[in-house]
Amino acid sequence: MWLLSATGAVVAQGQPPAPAGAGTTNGRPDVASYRLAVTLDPAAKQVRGSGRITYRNPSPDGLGEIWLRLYLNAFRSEDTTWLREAEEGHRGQSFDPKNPGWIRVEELRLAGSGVALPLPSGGDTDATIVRVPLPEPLGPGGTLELDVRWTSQLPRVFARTGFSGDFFMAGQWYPKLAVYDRGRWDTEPWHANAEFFHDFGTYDLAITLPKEYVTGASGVRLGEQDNGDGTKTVSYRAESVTDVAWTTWPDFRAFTRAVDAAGKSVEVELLVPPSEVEDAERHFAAIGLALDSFSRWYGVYPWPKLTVVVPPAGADGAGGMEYPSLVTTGHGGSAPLGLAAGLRELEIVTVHEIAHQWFPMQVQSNEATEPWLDEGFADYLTIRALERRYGATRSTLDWPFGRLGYAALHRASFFGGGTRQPIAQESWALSAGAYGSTVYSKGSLALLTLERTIGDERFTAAMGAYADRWRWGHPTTTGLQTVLEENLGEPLNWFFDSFVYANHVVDYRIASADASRVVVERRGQARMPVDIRLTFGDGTERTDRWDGAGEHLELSGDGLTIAAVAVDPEGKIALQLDRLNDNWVARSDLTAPLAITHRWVALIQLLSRLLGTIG
Amino acid sequence: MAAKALGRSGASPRLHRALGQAARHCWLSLAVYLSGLLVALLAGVPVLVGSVALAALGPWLEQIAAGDYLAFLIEIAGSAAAAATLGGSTPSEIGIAGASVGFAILFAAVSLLLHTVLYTLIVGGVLARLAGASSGSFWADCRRWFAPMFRYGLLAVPAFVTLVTAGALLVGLVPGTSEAAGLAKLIVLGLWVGLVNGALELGRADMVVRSDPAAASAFGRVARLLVSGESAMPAVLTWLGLGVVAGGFWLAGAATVWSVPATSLLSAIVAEQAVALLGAWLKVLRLAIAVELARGLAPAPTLAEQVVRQPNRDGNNSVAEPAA
Repeated sequence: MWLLSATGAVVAQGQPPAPAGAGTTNGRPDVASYRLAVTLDPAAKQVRGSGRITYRNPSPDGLGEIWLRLYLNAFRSEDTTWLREAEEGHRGQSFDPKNPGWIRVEELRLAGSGVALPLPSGGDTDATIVRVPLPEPLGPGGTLELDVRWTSQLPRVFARTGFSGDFFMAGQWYPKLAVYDRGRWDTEPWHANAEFFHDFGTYDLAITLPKEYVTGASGVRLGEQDNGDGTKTVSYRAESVTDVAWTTWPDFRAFTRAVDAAGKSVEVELLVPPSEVEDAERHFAAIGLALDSFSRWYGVYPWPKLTVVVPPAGADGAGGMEYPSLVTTGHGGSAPLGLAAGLRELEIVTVHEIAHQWFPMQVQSNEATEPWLDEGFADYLTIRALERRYGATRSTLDWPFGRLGYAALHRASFFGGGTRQPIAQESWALSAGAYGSTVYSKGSLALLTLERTIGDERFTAAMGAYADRWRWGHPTTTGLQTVLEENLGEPLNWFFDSFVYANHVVDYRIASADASRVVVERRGQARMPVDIRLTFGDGTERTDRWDGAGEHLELSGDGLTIAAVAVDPEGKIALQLDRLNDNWVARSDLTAPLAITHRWVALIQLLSRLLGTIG
Repeated sequence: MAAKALGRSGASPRLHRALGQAARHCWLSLAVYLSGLLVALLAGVPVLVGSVALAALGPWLEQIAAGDYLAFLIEIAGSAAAAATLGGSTPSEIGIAGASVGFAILFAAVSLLLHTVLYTLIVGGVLARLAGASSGSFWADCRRWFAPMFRYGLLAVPAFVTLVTAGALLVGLVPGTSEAAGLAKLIVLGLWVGLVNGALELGRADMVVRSDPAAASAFGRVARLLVSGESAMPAVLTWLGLGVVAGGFWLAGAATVWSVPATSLLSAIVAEQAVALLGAWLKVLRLAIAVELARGLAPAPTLAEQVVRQPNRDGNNSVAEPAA
């Protein structure tokens, strides 16, 4: 819900906080569990399945209905809401109308009594969410068991799921229960920008498919059985998860390794195409960096196994996605002359997707209504991890003739469209371009700003407390603010009211300066703490902190001659718009200009030698 | 003829002679070096102006020098976003720096062209010293040979551009897109540039060795040598060898320029100018080798044919008194 504040800024009204651990039973998340047995038909590109869904009402309310999510129906035709919103495709991939996707629920019955539950259009609908009335209300804490049978048609790989030749990525592929949270069902149809929101539970999955296929899935592989008819059945189990996804391809090369995650040994299975085998070590290095870093900061990775999948060429639409204990990543970028190693696209995608194992795979926020709570968080975690491994200026690009950090890349994206948007918005309220620059870039830069202002250690501890508090639960932005303020012992309204709920900008500049006084001006609406460092003629320094109150701050040298002034000298305010107006020097040092000029001179000299001066 | 000349007397003694000449006249490197330095300094003027402007904005210049120029470009975008959102404009120093980038590229192109002219001015004097055909002071030789060398350059420049472009196109047509194939193509192209340069250097040396200022004749003689097949082989092999040496110099030189931190001013100047001086000496060596190759091309004069032809100040031929 949105309000207009007195200043005309857009302000979101926060939701009331929900009790922590509302979805847990004896500490184990157990609301929506699935036991699924499916068969892949590679020729028809279909998955036919049956199973049992067990739902435990976690709320204090009686429930007279359930809602089922049928995500694949978004790809039924070009007329769906999803595809009309994604008119230009999804992440650079195009929809193939000759190979659509859909899901048809053929049977839904109460287990035990066998009473059939009514389905809209008999289960064959183009809606991505359907209401199913219950014959009797389900009381608080009550358990509902449903038997379900369905057929899923996988599209040509698009928007995370589908097939490409013999490769299959089954994502959001089965009928899934929507979430009942804070007194209501989450019934918003699936939008192009939106991701997912589900309850925790236990999944048992058995996949029957031709035996030459190599599979990977969420959870732990329990076993494999040769059926004697050219097929095999592979079984998996995943506990404390909100979803299960799986992939299969005859040409996967599999590598399994134990990876240390803050002292816990996690089994990592890497599935790559043959062309990526020589980059396997690079993949494992990125996986290890992510698992260890995030386990140290936000709680040890809770599952015994992580599967990492690199889709083959032509199936890039399945890459860059997170599921509980399974992620899909991408290839290393290509560049000649050994420069590919300095292009960290592989590391960025891998670390980002593994960051999602914490947010939202353990801290399950609603990815559709508050996407920044997972995407902004994941990119903030990625910035942190990569900076610690590669340095702040080399975490994206590290070439002999140029380099770039990941935070700087996000600043570029932020300037492109995120400056005018509050961070906390529903995913469908933003255009595709603004979604990226606001949710990913502004969201991650905002968290970086908070970290650098509060202090790394304190903020990391506070974020760890947030993860602990809401693990296996459904937090909102309000819940985040509450935990952070409790843990840090200070109000954070200056942060949330300006950047998260409103579209305020932050910018400080040096309005005037001379040898005896400096005037710093706050240009943006946002007021936040900023450091101002004065360097004096005798070489000493003094750093003052201004809380941004008022529009100007005047500082004097107190008898000392001011030689230089720097506003936010350490670049703590990652969201500050203009950094070029943050410095003043009484007298420029000519060393750097002369050095750069000389380098240009030397290059011209080399170039003229190259040309040989024409014989 | 070159094969006979080189084969009879042996390539090795000629190479030693060339090395000896280049060593004895290593001061000629200074002339080559200074001509390059002068025009490079000209190209540096806009860079200095832009850098001084940026230095006033804070520590950005040190970051750019360290390789963070992409991040700086992003900050310019941020400043523009702030101007669009909050009013005002980006700092004027950015405009100055931006203009200086454009002028730096323009000045670089002009300076390379100017270097060609300066080189044309001094190459005759250098060759005359190396060939033992000096008629007086170095600058007198330079002035005397400027016009013929300039006329030669009018033929050489189009030939250079045409041959190098054709070579690049041919190399580009060779199938192979792997990294190794790309590197191999680059090396082949580099050797081809070295071959073309060597041939054009030979033409200039031939003029001086024969004391014949007729540029077209020298150009024609070199062209005939190159199509003569076997006779061209020693020259081609020599140029390929020089190409390998040049490649080594290039790698070492480029590595030096990139590896020395740009903000370590003194170290950078010492290292990079040492590279430039070495490059200038290698050019003198190439010219010394060209003189030796030209000697092999030139017919041995008979007693009756010992007529010394020298270009006068206008670059026209004049006939001096026959030698006794």
